[in-house]
Order: sequence, then C-alpha cells, then structure tokens
Amino acid sequence: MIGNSPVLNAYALADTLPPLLVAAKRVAASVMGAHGRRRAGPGETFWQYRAARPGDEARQIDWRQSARSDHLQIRETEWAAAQTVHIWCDHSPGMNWRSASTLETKSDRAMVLALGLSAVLLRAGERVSPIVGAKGVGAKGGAVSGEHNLERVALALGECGEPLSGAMMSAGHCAVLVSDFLHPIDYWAAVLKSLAARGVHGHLLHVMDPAEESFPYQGRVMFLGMGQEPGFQSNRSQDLRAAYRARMQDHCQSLTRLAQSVGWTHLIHRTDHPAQTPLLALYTRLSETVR
Amino acid sequence: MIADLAFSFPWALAVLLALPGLWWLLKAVPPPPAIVRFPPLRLLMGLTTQRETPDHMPLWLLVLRALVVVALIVAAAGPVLHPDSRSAKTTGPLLIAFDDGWAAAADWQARRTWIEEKVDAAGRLGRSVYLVPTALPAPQTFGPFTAAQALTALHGWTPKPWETDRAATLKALQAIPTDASIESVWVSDGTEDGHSAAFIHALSGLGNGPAVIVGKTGSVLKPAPDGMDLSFEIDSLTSSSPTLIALDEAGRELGRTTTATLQLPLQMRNQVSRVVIEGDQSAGATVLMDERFRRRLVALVEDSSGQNPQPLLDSMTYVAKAVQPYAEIKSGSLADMMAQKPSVLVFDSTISPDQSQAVQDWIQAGGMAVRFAGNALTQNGDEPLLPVRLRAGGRTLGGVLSWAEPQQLAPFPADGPFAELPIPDETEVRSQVLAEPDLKAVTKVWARLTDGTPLVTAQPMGRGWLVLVHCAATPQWSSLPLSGLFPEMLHRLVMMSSSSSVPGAGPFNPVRVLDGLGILRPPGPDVGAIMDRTVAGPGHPPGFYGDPAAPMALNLGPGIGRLRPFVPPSGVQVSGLNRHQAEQDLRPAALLLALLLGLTELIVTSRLLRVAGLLLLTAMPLAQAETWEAGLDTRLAYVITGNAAIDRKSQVGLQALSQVLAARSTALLAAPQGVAPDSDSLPFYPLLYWPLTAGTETPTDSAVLALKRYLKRGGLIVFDRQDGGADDIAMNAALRRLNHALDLPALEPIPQDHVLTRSFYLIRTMPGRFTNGTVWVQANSAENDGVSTIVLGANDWAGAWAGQGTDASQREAALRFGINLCLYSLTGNYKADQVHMPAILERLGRQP
Repeated sequence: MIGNSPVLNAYALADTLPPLLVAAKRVAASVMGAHGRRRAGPGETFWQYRAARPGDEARQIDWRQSARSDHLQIRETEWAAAQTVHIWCDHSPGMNWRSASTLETKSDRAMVLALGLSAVLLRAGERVSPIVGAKGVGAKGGAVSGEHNLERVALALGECGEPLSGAMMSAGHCAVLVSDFLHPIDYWAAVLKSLAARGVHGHLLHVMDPAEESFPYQGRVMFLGMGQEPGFQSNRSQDLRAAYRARMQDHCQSLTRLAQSVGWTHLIHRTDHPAQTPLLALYTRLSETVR
Repeated sequence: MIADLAFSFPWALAVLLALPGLWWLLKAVPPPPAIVRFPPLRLLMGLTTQRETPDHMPLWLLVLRALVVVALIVAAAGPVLHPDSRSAKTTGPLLIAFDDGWAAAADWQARRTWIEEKVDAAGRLGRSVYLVPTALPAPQTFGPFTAAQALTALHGWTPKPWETDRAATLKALQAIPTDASIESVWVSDGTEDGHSAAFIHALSGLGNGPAVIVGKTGSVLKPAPDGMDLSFEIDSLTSSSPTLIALDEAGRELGRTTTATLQLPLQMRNQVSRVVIEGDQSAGATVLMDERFRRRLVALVEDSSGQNPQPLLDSMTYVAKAVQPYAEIKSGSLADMMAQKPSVLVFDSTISPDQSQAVQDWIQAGGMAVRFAGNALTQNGDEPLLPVRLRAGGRTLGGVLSWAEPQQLAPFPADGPFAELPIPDETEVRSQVLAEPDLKAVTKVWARLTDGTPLVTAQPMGRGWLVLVHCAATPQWSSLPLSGLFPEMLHRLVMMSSSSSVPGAGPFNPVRVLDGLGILRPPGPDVGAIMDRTVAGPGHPPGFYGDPAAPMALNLGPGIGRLRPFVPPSGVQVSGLNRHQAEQDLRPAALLLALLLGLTELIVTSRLLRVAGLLLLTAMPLAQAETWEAGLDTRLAYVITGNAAIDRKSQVGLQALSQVLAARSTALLAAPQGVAPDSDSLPFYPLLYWPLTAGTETPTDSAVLALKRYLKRGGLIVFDRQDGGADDIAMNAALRRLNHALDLPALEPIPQDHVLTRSFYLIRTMPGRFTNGTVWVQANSAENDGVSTIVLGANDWAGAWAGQGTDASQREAALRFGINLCLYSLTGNYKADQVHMPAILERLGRQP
C-alpha cells in the first residue's frame, strides 16, 4: 500500500518547511536530536562548573579546570531528552474516496500529511511513533528517530488501524490523529478522553473532500456507502443540500468542542487545498505544545 | 427531389403512427438515477425532501431519441431516390442513336455525359450497346459493342461541323438485326429535317422504343446577304437574343453586340477573323471573316487646287458616290493619300515622274491603282504608269463631226473581274482614249466596247494591279458613271484589291478548318480542296481555304436552311437530358443517420462529453496562448525560414538589438518572436525581420494576404539578403518571386537624407556583417505618410547584431543602424520633422 510515491511526496512537503525544532527558542544551543531540559543531567552539552561537594564521585571532577583555582570543580552537562510524537493515520474504507478524478483521495492526502509531519519531526531529531492498531509495540511499531527511518515510519503508518490504543503513550507525549472523523461523535469522545486521561496532548487533523462539505449533487441520485450497508436514494438530491450541510457543520463543531474540552486542537483540511497549509499550522501548534 | 423518392416497403412507414405513443412513454419514464458512492452516508440517512417528483427527461434528449426511432423506421421502409421503373430488369441490347451534327454542339458535353452514363448503366447489367450517329460519314459498324468498347469510342467523339443526314442513317440502320429485346434511345438535336418521323419509325421497328431525348439546339449565324456591313442573321429555335462576339485571328475579343450588327472602327473591323455567338460553341454559330468582309480604304486623289467649284463636273464625285456603300473614302493630294496606305488609289490627273516611282512601289507591294482617262491624258501620250501606250488625242464617237455612233459595252470577258455583270442597255460611251496596238502580253483587257476597242485595261505589277479606264468618270465622256454598272464595276475592283484570289479561280486547299465545336484546327487528311461554289458539308468542313496569307472563308451558316423545331409524332414521349438520374438506395444513409444520432445521444449523456469538452477547452487556449502572449508586449519579430541556423541567428540578433535598445533608449522591447506569416497574427509587431535565402519560397496565399494587410496597416518589413549584395541569380529569382507575390512598391537606394539616417543616431553607413550592400527603401511612399514599409538590404544585419564575424566598431555601427531601424518602425517619420533640422545642420557643420 505504501510505495515510494507517498514517501517522496512527504519529503517534498517536508522540504517546504524549516526543520521542525520543537521549542527551539528555548534551546538555542542544543544539539539536534535532544532538547536540553535546562538543568543538569545526562547529556553531552556543557552546562556549568560547580564546586565539588561531599558525596560527588572523584571521577566527576574536572581536574584541568580544578587546577586553575583553589577548589575542586565538577563539570556538569545539560540533561537532554527527545520528544515523542505519536501519529495515527486513518485507513477506513471511507478514506479511500474522492469526488472527482482531479483530486487526491482522502487517504492519500492523509498519508502525505502524516508522512510530511514525520519527515519534519525526524529531521529535527524528534521521535516518531506510528500508532499501529491494538497490537501496540510490534515489529513495525515503536518510536523511531533519525531521518533515515522515514521509510520505516511510512510502512508502519500504512498499517494504522482501529481501535486506537494509547498503550504506548505516557504523560507529556504528543499525538496527532489524521482522519475524516466520520464516526459518530461519541466514538471520538471515548477515544479522546482515554488519551487525555493518560496526559497526552494532541491534535486532530480533519481531512475532508470538497464534495463532503458542499454536496454538489442534483437530480436522481442513488447514494451508496463504502461498505455493504444499504444505500440512500433521492429523487431531488439538490433539495437535500441545506439539511446535509447543517448536519456536517454540526458534526465539525462538535469535534472542535470535544477537542477543546480535553485541551486538544481540531484542524480541518480540504483535499482541494494545498497540503502545506495544514502542515504549517500543525508545525506551529506542535512548537507550542511540545516541551 | 421529393417527387423522386419512393419506398420499397411503404407499409413499414405505418409504424410512424406509433410515434406519439413512444413519445409519451419516453416522457413518462424518468432517467435512471446516477449512482454515487458517498462516505458521509450516515449524515444523509433520514433526510427527506419536500417533493419527490423525479426530474423529467430533458426535451432535447426526447427529441433526439424520437429522431433515432424515425430514422430506423424510414430505413426499414427502404427509401429509394430516383426510382427507375422501366429499365431495371431489361437485359437486351441498348441502341443509342444520337445526332452529332453541328446543332448538337451547344450542349455536347451534357449529351455525351448522358450517353456515357446510360452506356455505363447498361454495362453493369451486362447489356451490349449499339451506337448510331446520324451525321455523315457513318462509322463502319454500329455494333454491338460491349459497354467498355462503346465508352472508348464515345470518349473522343465530337460533333461534326455539318448537318445530320438522317435519311442516309435510316438506310444504314437496316444492317442491324431486328430484335424484340432491343431498347432504343434517340438523343435528338431538336431540329426537323423531314425524316425524323421515319427515323423514329425505323427505330421502333428494331425493338422497343425509342425513347426520344431532346437537348439544346444550337443557333445558326449567317452573314447578312449584303455582306458589306458586319451585320448578321441569327436563326434560333429559342427567342432570346444572343450576344455576338467578334474575335481576331488570335482569339482576342474585338467587340460584342446584342443586336445583329457589329459597329467597329475600320482598323478593328478589318482585323475581325470570326464572329461567334456567346455561349454557343458550334460550327453553325461561327462566321469566319475573310477579305470579302473587310472594308477597303479607297483614296481619291484630288487636284492640288483643293475645293472644286463644280463638283458635278469632277470625276471624283462620281467615284466617291459609287464606292461609298462598301468602302472607306479619303480624298486629298497624292502625297497625303500615299501616307494613308490605302487599298485602292483612284486618280484621273497626270503624275509627275518623281511621284510615279512612289506609286509604282506601292503597287508592287500589293496596291491597286485605278486611273480614269481625262483631258490631261489625251494631251500627253508619254504619261508614265499606264498599262498601255495611248495614242495622242482622244476619240469622240457620235459627235457633230463624227460618223460613228456612240458605242455600247461588249459582254465582259469571263476571265476578268467583271465577269457576268449585267450590262444595262442605256450605257453608251461617247469619248475614250485609244491604246496603241501593242503586243505587251502582260496587259489584260477587262472590258471592251462593242467595236472591240478596250475600255478597261489592266497590268499586274508585282502583287498589285495598275488599271486604266479609258474614259473619264464624268457624264461628258459616257453615261457609264450614271449607270448602275459603274458602282458594280468599282465594287469588283475594290474587292480585288489586296486579295490574291481572283474570283473564279480554284481549287482552294484547306488552311484551317472548324470542327463541330467551332474551334479552328489544322485540316485532317479527310478534308478536300474546294471550288468557289462549294457548300460546306461532309468532307468540306467550314474553314479557311486558299492562300494562307489571305485565305477565303467557307461558312456553314449560309448553307443551312431555316431551322424547324422537331415535332414528335403522336405517341412518342420526349424528355430532356436532365431527367436521367441513377437510382439511389437511401437505406444506408438512413441507417447511418440513426447510428450517428444514437452515438450523439450516448456521447451527450455519458461522461464522454465532459471528457471531450474538457479536452476541447484545454486545447483551445493552448492554441491561442502564444499569440496572446506575443501581443502583451511590444516586440520585434522575424520570419521563420525553416533553416535552423538562420532562425537562431535572427533570434539572437534581434534579442541583442532589443537589449541594446533598452539600454540606450526608453524603448523597452520584449524578447523577439519568430513568426510564420501564414499562421501567426502579425499586427502586434512593429518590425518584421525577414532573412532571405535563395531557397525562399513564394509565400502561400494566406501569408500574402496577411503580409499585405500588415504592410497596409503600417508595418515595416526588413528584407535581408544576407549575402553582401552579391549578384546571385538564385537569390534574385527568389526576390523576384517574392516581389511578384507581395506586389511590393517601387524601391530606390536609400537617399542620404532619409529619416533612417537620423531617427536616433546620425549615421551615414548601414553596415551589418557586410558593409557594401545597397539599402533600398520605398521610392515614393506618399500613401503611408511618407514612411517606407519596406527596407531591403544585403548586409546580414542580424548576424552583426548577434556578434558574428565583425569587429567591435563594425558591430557598434550595425547596432546603431538597428536602433535607428527600431525607432523608425516605432516613430515613423517623426524625425523627419523640420524642427530638428537646424540642430542637425549645426552638428553636421561641426564635423569635418
């Protein structure tokens, strides 16, 4: 399912953004791949010299520095750690659909966005963890880092399934869910609440086909679902437009309210718009939330 | 057309009655729903609309489907155009009798086509064909031929330049065996010769028929009996008055008239070689004109004293009156008359020796001099230029002191020009001059008195004649000038002048003869010589006979009796040529129509339409984009020659010029554009640079039109021979072709003070890669506000602008000229304004 094409698309998309350095302002001197926690701890970057205190191990003493003064000096490094971003990409049958041959399917667009985000994150040294169904950590699951692992992320993202599991996430982690969010609002409420209960921040990236918003049909139309469910026939489908739009708008607003209630954000993206826009927005939001 | 339509199975059309029912049915059934997959189906569930009435089928779709059904029903009924009920099943031989005399020539092409189609149709059925032409000579056999043989025989068949002879054909028809299965057709020329009823009877005796087809009948043009004026008699079966056209020997039109008389100036009249009826090409509608139809110029020499106070005593008065009806007359002194180059010179005065030589030369060259005796002659026996030696003193008959009676004229000798002229009784001669008895063999006596003394003597001199009438042309000498014989005699003399053929001579060999279509051709071996009384007919086609320099015309018209229209005997159907049309089965056409309509419906109702429409929409802007873009900015253009190196050079050169122009002036030009004059729009470009090569083709018609329009609306074309002005024959030819096609204005080498030399820089030379080529501009361009639309040079400017093979200073000079050229094309004659002259003069003065 995942060929080279989405990966290349993702690279192309990622190239349009600067490397996503989450919270880069606060760690100006930090090394790629880890963010200083602004306190001493395990890491590679010099943090400070301090006078040795009783209880410090002798091997911690920086003898060269100590020779310059009367006291023994200990060289401390900054505590560095990378951020993990969990990404889930919806592959339900309804995603594999487009209203016109000139558009991409929602699934393709979702994949491009998820991979683009992954590419930016990996380039910045963050850890990306595709959420691979209920199995949790598997051969293809688990957080990866390093730009060279994008292909692996792509393979794993192609396997994303339902139900969503927060098993791998812990407090302070960040999650990005890419989907058309056409399940009933109760379903999403359950998912988000379970994630939020684990202390996970996150973002909903809502991919939408333009026809799903505008409902351009008219005349006698037989509407079929993506599965085997019974269809719906209308003799004057243009008369349905207003009611449908109201329902769709209502659904979107419910999603937004739900996201806000757990401290998440909800971002709507239409497949006839360029993919850079949501990626940039997501980049901005991630920069703010990740620390 | 509609009347010619029939159906093989008319009952099938009854299904058309069911059409309204079908209409109703189609209208009632709604179109099938479009099937759409829609992921947010859940959101739609449970939605209802207020109205559930389905959409109707659109009217155009309804009409389209109804038309498909109609076309199918009509196809099932088997429509046939021009049904041929009679000949469909016949397999017996086909006999086609056709008139191929002159009268059939008027629409010969249509006749032959008709016959050929008939033969062709018979050939498809495997029928044999008899061909029976009615004009002599009859062919060796009438058939039976196969259709292919008959078509070959018909291929080059032309009508004969004489009348048909149905009586003779009637006898020849007996060679054809009677066969009840023969279907006969007679293609008649529409004239009646008294034998047509018998002919039809004979044809019907052979088998079936005949069907009689009558085409157009030609008209006859006859010279009016007088023949002295160019007037004609037109005999036609139709009442319309045709147009006569006079043609000269080379076929150029000299004049035309819708009346029966042609009025032309003398010189043109004498050049008329034949007169034809417009739109009627046949031997009968053509009159050939020979010397007999030409009016001669007769010069009368008067005494130098001028106005004669007693005209009735002057012999020239009587001559003029006699000659007037059939010749042009001029009168004056001998010297004046010789200058007019007349055909006949008439005088009764003496001649001085120096004048006599001139007159003699003129006679030798073909002139005819007619002298009348007079008082002057009786006194001077040694007068030069006389056919006979005259005795001094005259002879008076029947006077007071004379015993002799006035003499009458003896019958004219048969070999003279006056042969067979009737002699009125009252003619008598009272005085004459007498000839010395002489043995000069060359002298001929054309008229004598009853006592045998000559009255008219003549002597051939070179190609002309010297004629002496032995009495004066006044009533004092004889009553001849008052008689009706006098004009007749003079008429014969005038007719003889400038004509080698003396009437009565013969035989005459054919020079050029008319064919049945009225075209003059060299005679074939079957054309014999004619005598002067021969009537045109088989073996003697009308045409020119005799001396090739002054041939005699034999016309067909006078030999044809009055035309009578063909009246078919009762019981015989007559039809025209246009009724013959092949049967045409329309069923495939109807089926094709149904198929096309069905396809149209399919395309319109399916996605194909959208796809096709999209393709159309995307393709159209692509085609136009280049032109639009080119028009957005001002830019130079060059003509694409097809030679990649030259095109590249033009492009780079103009690009460099545009850049330099932008750097040094305020004219900002976009990148130059290559154009093909026959397909691209030209009006956007102020200047069109056209590199010429020896291989430059003549522009196509559309290109010529576009270029002419471009020049007319103020464009500037710069032609560049690119060869430094070498005298290349191929290049000159190319230039000539171009000039001829574009109709370029006259050019001149560029004047020293031309605007081009000062439109931006003041320049004196206009070098390119070469320096010595002359630059040409429009010579007198008053119509374009004094701005030349053409600049023609040979210096390969584009090469220099592009930096090829020049040093820096020469390239700079070329660029300066280029800038001048651009500004000239942009501003026209702005710099010609005299306002700048003082400053320019001052600057010029400072330069050494």
